[in-house]
Parts: sequence; structure tokens; C-alpha cells
Amino acid sequence: MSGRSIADICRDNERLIIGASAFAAFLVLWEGFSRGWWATLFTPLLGEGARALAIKPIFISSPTGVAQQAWTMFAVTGEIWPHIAQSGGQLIVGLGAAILIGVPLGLAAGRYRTFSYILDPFLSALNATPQVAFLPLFVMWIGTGFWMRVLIIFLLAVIPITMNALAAVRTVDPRLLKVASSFGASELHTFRTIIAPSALPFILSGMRLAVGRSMIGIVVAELYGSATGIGIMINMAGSSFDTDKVFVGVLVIVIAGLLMSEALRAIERRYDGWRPAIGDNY
Amino acid sequence: MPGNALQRYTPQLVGAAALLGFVGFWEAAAAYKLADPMFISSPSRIATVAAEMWEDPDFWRDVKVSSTEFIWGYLAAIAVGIPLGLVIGWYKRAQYALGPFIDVLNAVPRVTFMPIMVLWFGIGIWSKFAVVFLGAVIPIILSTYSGVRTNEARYLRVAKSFGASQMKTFTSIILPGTAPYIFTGLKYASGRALLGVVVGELYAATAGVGHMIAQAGNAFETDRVFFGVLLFTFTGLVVTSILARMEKRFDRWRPEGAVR
Amino acid sequence: MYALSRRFFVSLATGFAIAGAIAPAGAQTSFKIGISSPSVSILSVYFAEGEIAKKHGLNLEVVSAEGGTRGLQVLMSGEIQAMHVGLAPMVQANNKGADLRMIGASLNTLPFVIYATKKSDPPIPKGSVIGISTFGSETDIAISIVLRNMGLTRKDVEITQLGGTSQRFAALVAGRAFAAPLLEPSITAAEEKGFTKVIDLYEARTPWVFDGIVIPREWLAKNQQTATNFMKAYLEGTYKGLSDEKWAKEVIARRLRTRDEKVIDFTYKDYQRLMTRDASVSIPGAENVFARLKEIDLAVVSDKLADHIDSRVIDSLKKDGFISGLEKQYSIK
Repeated sequence: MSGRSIADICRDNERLIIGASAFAAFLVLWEGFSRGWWATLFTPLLGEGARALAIKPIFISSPTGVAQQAWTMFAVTGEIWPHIAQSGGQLIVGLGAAILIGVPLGLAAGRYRTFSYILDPFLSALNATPQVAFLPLFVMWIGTGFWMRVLIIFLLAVIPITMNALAAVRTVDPRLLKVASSFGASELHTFRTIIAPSALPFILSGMRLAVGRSMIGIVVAELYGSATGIGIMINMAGSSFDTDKVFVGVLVIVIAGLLMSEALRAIERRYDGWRPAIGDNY
Repeated sequence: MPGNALQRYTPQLVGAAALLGFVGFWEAAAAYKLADPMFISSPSRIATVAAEMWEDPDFWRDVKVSSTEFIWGYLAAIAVGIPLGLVIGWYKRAQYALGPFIDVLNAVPRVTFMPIMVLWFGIGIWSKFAVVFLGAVIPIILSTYSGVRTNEARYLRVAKSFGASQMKTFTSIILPGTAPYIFTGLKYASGRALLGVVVGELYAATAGVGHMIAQAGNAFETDRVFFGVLLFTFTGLVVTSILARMEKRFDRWRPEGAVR
Repeated sequence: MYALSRRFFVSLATGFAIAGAIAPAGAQTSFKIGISSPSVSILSVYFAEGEIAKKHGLNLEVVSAEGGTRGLQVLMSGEIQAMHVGLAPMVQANNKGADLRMIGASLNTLPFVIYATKKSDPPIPKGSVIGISTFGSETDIAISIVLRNMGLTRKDVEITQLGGTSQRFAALVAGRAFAAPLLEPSITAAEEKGFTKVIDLYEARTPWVFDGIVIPREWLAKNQQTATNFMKAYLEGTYKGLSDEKWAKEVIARRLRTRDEKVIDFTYKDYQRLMTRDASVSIPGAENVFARLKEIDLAVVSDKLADHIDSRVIDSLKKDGFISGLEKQYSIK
């Protein structure tokens, strides 16, 4: 109990305190719009105009409404679990395929120049296209079921993975490669002992980008069709004016996205050392 | 020396040959019915449709609607994102307060909000404007922020030790050093903005190139779908190459040794 | 409130002070109505569009929202003033806290014919893909009722959103759906294609409120005169359409984008057969909607008619002789 005043504690945890209070203020503000607190509060000041500060829950839901709905869907009826299982399955298969294909493809293109010349125009064209525009085509080709959604997730995820794997090989210290080849190391051996270890952090950050992309895939691929899935749940809830449910779905995606990218970031940190981060984050 | 020129352009030549080979194979696959052209279309069919649509005023209306959504959503994202990124980069406390929200928005694909956007803004241009804006603003904020932070760490101590004012430090050191980061953010953001246009129009629209693709898909007009997709590819390539060029120009301002 | 809240959302979502520009300026005479897709039930609106609307002081614009429930979302955003949609989806929205009213009906029966691409036994096998417009719309509810009568549930088939009747028909042709509820002109086209009729809901003469004019209650309270003007134009469109066959068929050809005489002919016959002349909402139809919604486990928070239907506009037009005036003018009973 000695030496540390409350002011010290506040200063040390400034980040947490400011962040948490901003978030709390946001929640109160939101709840207040939905419950008409602000309308009541400002009526003496603004008169009739204050009515605009009361917004029906059908438009914005409310934190308590979302919490209640989440509780119902997770704990009471359990209706959300099949949706999560379905979307999760699609994510695992799509992302898994993207890693299995993207990493070798990228590594090969990074190692063999001519192959990269061939791959490059296709890769940059695909990268520049908003890949979700392929959705109507995929629907025509394989319908609206599981595999169409896997395909969209795959397509969105495979590009950052391939590009990062390609860039990764290019960053390998050429002196090491020279030494290896002068000692007559086999190609496979060189890959395993020199290229793979130094490429790993790059590949991991490509995977982190891919995770973000595949979350887009989950939502967009489920625009069509019915059955189960988080995207479909959001879409159907929107159509039946269940704004609470829409937000529960959004929340599930936020949490899943944060968890996965944090997990990957933790793995990356283990392998990181010198390499600066690539991509769109702090 | 022709030999040298050949060597210099090898990547482009090999790439072009690969592309040509792909197009030729596609055309042949359709012509010799290796696959049903109704499913895979073919380059010549797409070209025919493109020529037809060029004459079609409905197509130009779609183009106009999509570009309006893209341009205004993107510009609004720039107008909001850069100042906001500078502010949270410069003022630690602003970052503490806004950081959580930006993190959350960054974790969720903004297209998820589409059902709510329709409820708030309707089916016209505004719901797409909102989705494009939300998609593009986050990468702009984040890269501007990281630009300010990188510069700050590098030069601030020097500037302070020379007794520069806050304003002076900001305008003469932080701003120019941040420019290349901003352009990197703009490049990412343009992809997100285009994605917003496509998804928004696939989801709910009365016009636009994405809407045209969705309609054509429902009616099994594969040629039109491909044409629409290629149009987006083309747009994406043009926008990213312009921004990549600008990024490169400003790159010499980037503090040496920092990220990329 | 709708326009105001919309303005609020702009500033909330974008943090951007351009809200003022978004609100439609000087909207007194501009009237936008949303439709789910061009079909027989919307013809009166097309007839009213242009000349007739102008005569009643309106600049009428028809916006395609591709689906009833989506259209209601658009209506609530304030982008359009009215939505042409069924009672069932509107009741669903009201259950969730919307405050909408139906002020007139165009179709007081369930007119769908459900077609399948080929004959099978049972007519709709488990696992088949069925096309609807949007979730929660009239097509969705019709399918739920039909499936229930066949001893199936929605989980036994795959229901997919395809948009309006013409899109659903195109999906049948393309093999993207096995069965879908259709309306004219797609019914004629489906017959020509040799598709199998699964069930004709029109033959069953189910009282229903299939399509009508839906308006937010608060907007209606502030714009009673505009709403009345719109209903006048709508009614005059109906009567003119019924009396002037040649003109009506021209409008059909233009708005439904077809030159096929047969399709135009069938559509017009359907119009004569189906349309509710005085645009009043059928009470037994509404009661049936409530009863069926409860049957398929869609909660009906309030089944008080006054919470969903506002007949004052039509009643006043009946009382002041506007409708009987039209009957005389166009010599139609």
C-alpha cells in the first residue's frame, strides 16, 4: 500500500481506462438512442426536434437487446451453433485448401523465375479484381451449397497467401543460397533448411491477411441460398427485421476474426525477430 | 542491342505469352465443346457482348451508378480517414479512445453491415456509398496512423532537442514522412472500396455493374457475367497501378530503413 | 421522423456533415413507390404513372426493390414513400416494431401458380431447390403453406432467394431451381416451356391480401393529402386500364418489356380477373393472413386490423363520390 497513489495507477493504466470508458460511453449512447433517453433529455432544449434522437430499435437495436438476443441464441435455444459449425467448416476447408495450394505455388514462383513470369499476370489480375464478383459465376457452375462457399473463401484467401510466399523467397539472403549450392546441397535440402525457415514469418503474415479475407468470403458467399451459416443468418434476420439478430451475427464474426488474427499474430511473434510487419495493421 | 532488349523484357514477354495461351485455350475449349460455352463462355463471345453493351444506354447507366458509388465513397473515406489517422497518431489519448472501435471495425468485414445499410439508407446509391466508405476508411486510418508513429519515433527526439514547436514538427517532419504510408493505405483502400461496390450491388441495388452481373447470373447469361467481372478486373488494375505509381513517387520521402 | 432519423444515421455512420444534402429537398409532389418486380398486380401503378399522376399533382416514380421484405426495408429508410407489397410481410415488419399501414389493396387473393421443371412423385421431392423472391415475402409464405400441406417442412428443401417472378422463371429455365411460385407473365411462359404445374393457388380462391399500398403511419399522418392524391391516381389508373384495352396493352408491353402478343394478352386478362376495383383491403383476406401466419409459427403480435390497415383514405374517396365518378367516367361497374 505504499508509494503508489491512485493518480499513479491511473497514469499507468491510461490506455485501458480511456479505451474502456470510450467503449462504455458508446454503449450508453447507443442504448439511449434506442430507449429515447436523449430525446427526453433534450426536449426542453430542442423542443419537437429532439424526437429525432429517439430511434426505434428496429433500426439500431440496442446493446441490451443484442446481449439478450445473444444469450437466447447461444444458451437458451442454441440455434446459433449449427450456423457457426457450418460457416466454420467452410472456413477451415476453404482456408486449408488456400494454404495447401498457395504456399507451394508462391514458393515455386519465388524460386523459379520463369514460373513467376507466367504466374504474375494472372496473380495481379486476380488480385486487382474484387473476387466476390465471381460469385454469380460460381453459383451457375456449382450451385449455392457448401462447395460454392468454400470456393469463394479459397479464392479470396489464396491470393495473399501466394503473394506473401512469393515475396518470402525473394527475401532469403542470396549469400546463404550461394553457399548451399556451392556445397552441392540438393534443391529439396535447400528448401527445407534455408528457404522455409526464413520464409515462415512472411507466410504467416500472409495467412493473417487471408483470414480477414476469408471472413469476407463467409459473409458474401452466403448472400445466396438458404440452409445454415452465419452469413445466411444475418441475411435472413435482416429480411425479417430482426436487427438484434443481425448484430449478434456481426458480433460473432468480429470475435472470430479478432481471435484468429490474434492467434496468428502470437505465432508470428515467435518467429519474428527482425522482420517488419507487412499489411494493413498498426 | 536486340539481345539485351529481349532479356530486359523477358518477364513481360513470358507473361504475355502465358496470357495469350490461356485465352487461346479458353476459346478452343469453347469452340471444340470441351466444356459447355453456356457455362464457361469464351473470349470471342465476351467480346461480342462487350460490343453490344457499348451501344446500350442501360450499360452506361450501370457504369455511371457504380463509379459514382466508388468515387464518392472513396473520396469521403480519404477526407475522413487521413485527418483521423493523423489525429490518433499524434495524440496518444485519441488513439486510446478510438483504437478499440477501429480494431473492431477492422476485424469485421464491413460488407456484413449491408442488411442494416439497406434499412438505414435504402436501395439506391447511399447504402452503397456507406459500405464503400466504411470499407475504405479503415485501411486509410490505420496506415496514416502507422506512418505518423514511425516518423515520430525517428525524428521527434531530434526535433525536440532543437526546440521545434509542435506545429512546426508536425508540418515539417511528420506530414511529409507520412505521405508514403498514406499512399500505401490508399492502395489497400481502393480494393476495399471496389469490393464494397460489388457486394453492395449484388446484395441490393436497382442499377450498377454488380447488379448487372447478378441479374445476368440469374438468367444464365454467362457472357455478360464475364464481361462484368473483367470490367471490375480492369478497373482494379487501373486504380491500383495509378496508386502504386504515386506510392513509388512519394516513396523517396519514406524514412530510410522503415517498413518497406 | 423517417427523414430525420435517416439524416441522423448518415452523421452517425459517416461522421460526415453532408446529411442535409441527402434528405430529398422539396418532396411535396415527388412520390416514389417501390415494387418487388413487374407483374400483373403492379399494373395499376404503371397505369397511373405519368399523365394520370400528373393530373393529381404527383410526380410518380416506380422503384424496383426486388423483393417484398427488402422493399419494406427501403421504405423504412425513407428513400421511397410507399411500397407495393403483401400484407403478410408488412405484418412481419410491424411485429418487429415497424409502424406501417396498408391503405389500399390491389389483389385480395393468392394468385400464385407453383411450377416445377419436371414431373415427379411427390411433386416436390425432398432436397429440391425452391425459388422465392426474398425471405419472409409472400412467395416464402406461400411455399411454407404448400410444403406444410404436403407434409414437408422448410428444412426438407433448399429455399433460395431469386428475386421477382421473371427472375424466378429464368432460374427455372436455367436449372438453378426445381420449383418456384410464378405470376403472369411468367405463367404463360412456363406453360410454353412445358413446365409441370404443382399447385394452382388461384384456383383454390384463398381469401388473402396479396398486394397493396403500404405507407409508414407517421408519414401518412403528415401527408394525408399526398396519400389521397396517390390513391386517386392509382384508382383512375385502374379504371382507365380496365376500360381502354389498347392503351393498357401498350403500357404492359412497355413496362413488362415484352413484344409477345400472347403474354400481353394473358397478362391483361389476368389483370381484369384479379384486380380489386375499389382498392379496398379485404377483411376476410386479412383475417386469413393472420391465421395462416400463426399456423406456420410466425408470431402475430397484434391481430387488430386497425394496427395494420388504414382504410380512411379509401373510405373518404368512396364517400365523396370519387370512385362512383370514375365508374361513370370510364363506364365500368
